[in-house]
Amino acid sequence: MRKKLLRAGAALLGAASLALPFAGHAATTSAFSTGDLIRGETVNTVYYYSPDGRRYVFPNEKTYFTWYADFSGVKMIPDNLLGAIPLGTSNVTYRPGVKMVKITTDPKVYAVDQGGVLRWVKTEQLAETLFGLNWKQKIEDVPDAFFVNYKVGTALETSADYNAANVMTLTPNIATDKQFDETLVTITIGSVSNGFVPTSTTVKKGKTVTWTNRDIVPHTVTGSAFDSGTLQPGQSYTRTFSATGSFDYACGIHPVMQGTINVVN
Amino acid sequence: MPLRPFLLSALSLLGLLAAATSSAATLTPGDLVKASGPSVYYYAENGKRYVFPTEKTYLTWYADFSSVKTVTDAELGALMIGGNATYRPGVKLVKITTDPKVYAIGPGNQLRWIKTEQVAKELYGADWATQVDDIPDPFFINYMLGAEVSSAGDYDRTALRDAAPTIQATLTAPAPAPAPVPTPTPAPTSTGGIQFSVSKAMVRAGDVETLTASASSTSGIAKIELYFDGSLIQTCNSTTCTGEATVPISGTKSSYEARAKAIAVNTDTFEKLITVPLDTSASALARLTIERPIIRQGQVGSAIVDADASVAVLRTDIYRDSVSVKACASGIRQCRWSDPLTGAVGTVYDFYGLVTDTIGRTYQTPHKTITVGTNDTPFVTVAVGKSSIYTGETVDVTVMASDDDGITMIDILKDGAVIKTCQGASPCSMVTGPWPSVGALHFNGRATDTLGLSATNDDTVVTVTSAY
Repeated sequence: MRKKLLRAGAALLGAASLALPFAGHAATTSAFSTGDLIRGETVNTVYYYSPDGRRYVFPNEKTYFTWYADFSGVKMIPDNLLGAIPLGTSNVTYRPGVKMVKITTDPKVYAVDQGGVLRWVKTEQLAETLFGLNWKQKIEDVPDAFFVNYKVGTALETSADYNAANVMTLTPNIATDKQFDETLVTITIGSVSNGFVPTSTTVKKGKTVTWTNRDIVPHTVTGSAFDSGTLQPGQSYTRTFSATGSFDYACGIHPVMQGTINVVN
Repeated sequence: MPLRPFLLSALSLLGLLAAATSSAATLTPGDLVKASGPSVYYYAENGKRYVFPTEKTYLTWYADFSSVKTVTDAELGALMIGGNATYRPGVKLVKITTDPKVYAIGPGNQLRWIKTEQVAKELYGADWATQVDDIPDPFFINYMLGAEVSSAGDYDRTALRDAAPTIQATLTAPAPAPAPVPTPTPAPTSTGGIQFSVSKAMVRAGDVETLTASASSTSGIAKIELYFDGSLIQTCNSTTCTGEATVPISGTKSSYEARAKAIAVNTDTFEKLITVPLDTSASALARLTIERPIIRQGQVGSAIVDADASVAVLRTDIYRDSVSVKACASGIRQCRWSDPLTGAVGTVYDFYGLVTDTIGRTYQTPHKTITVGTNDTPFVTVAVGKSSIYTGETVDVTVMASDDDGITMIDILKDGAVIKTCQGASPCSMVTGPWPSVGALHFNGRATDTLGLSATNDDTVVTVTSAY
């Protein structure tokens, strides 16, 4: 019995997060930007690279497909860079308005609101009004262990309390769903060998870029027009790019660490 | 690109397969529980069930499944999910697949980075690497990052393991425990009992309170009734019952009464009462601004409610004398009301704002008043050229004011001190700085009307950041 259980445990490791099979040998890149989907070379898990400089986990494939139709936009990045990016402070939740969810061990059916808030759909009539005649096909089971990713909000009493199409339109991407400030971009300063992560990134004019030193030794962010001074581990440096162009920078202490910010309109 | 179909759905894997089952009538906090499905849960003191995200998590706490109690699906469904169980401190080392860092488990679900292989060896022996489990990425958020372990002295395996004898010890979140609910109620001579809890120990006006009761009796439970503020909100013909009640927006009560009543088949009744105090204190996350605290009869008064960026706003209401005069719909952080006030001179209007977030919490602003007087306060606005500057930069500040009697003087204040005074009503502006040091600059405008009444508006903040 014990042996069988352990096998189940091992299989669980593979299936518990969103694993993406990449058949082709896509080229790796160290250039990616906020809002991109990223994965490493060896492990095929896909993450959402968010404005707070963290990578957010899709707990399962169903969650992924509420946001994306396919895996065409996923960028493969070197394993060491992926490892340098911290995991998100929460997991990706269902896109609001796309599906209704329930857990296996509780009969309540919930609509998803912005920020992973679950709102109990109290009656079948209400479910039909909100999600159409085939509402039953729009209910998905959320595994118990992912239920903690959601918050239970107020129940829906009438159809005026929720509009699936509107709430979906108002949450076009995961950053909006999590209420991240999309004018921010965060770059991780990893170890000397990992360098700046992402090494090259593209930001819109007027966005604010923050570099955070997550290494255990001091670094600097030094370009021709800006210099952070010495950043101790844990410290950050912030600069707003108000002109377009390509800005190269490096660490003044470890010149091998180099990066580029491309500012576009 | 073809997608490889998932061989096994995550659903069938998440949750543990219980090896042994036994039937049990009542649950006691600390029990392991399952229903007809395979998943096993930990039943905690707060009456909620906790999920084991992986079998490995379970095995850091229990050697086998011998003590799992089985309940009906309905009984299990009535228990809310409280969260996920985490690894027991001191037992295993963990990592995530995409990051080479190895962590030890600390108290309070902390992950503590083992900085060197040497430290790992000293703590977990030469075969430490075999004791490292991979935590699937989605469960990393169940942990918090704690202090690093730089030397073996930073981490005492045995003491930490012994300090967490049960999963309950790791459930640090001090659940907003409703008034004393003696959880197990096996009164010695009684033939049954009732457990009752509310979702919020303290409520604000407009909150939704969830009442949950479960009862048992040797003769069986005929029905459970839930009451809030004296009115029946739910009747259930089962052993568990959940109902929701909305706390009245207006009223004079300082607390409300939540009551659960269970009637057994043999007509025994069990009752439990929880008094829920009404929280009327103001929240720092919602702010009320009154542009002109004194106006003349018939002039337009205005009130603005701002919600903090951390609040997921569902709706905002502005109340005048406890009557909602304006409601702003979903997602609007700033709600503005303005209307002519026709009360006689001396009338005082009381205003406050109430912000409701998407999970039903409410944030009330402090009360402010608008008085109808014979002379109105000047209306002052401050405009700054930039709200964020680098050290060494200057910033333009312009103050404009208007008043029915005319303006005699406008001042510009920085951190409370007057830095420029202009006579007359025309806009007063100046170039301030250059500002040499990093920090925040607070600018205000002050205007005085011809009758001598002056007004200062709220702070306008300019942040100074380092350019280099």
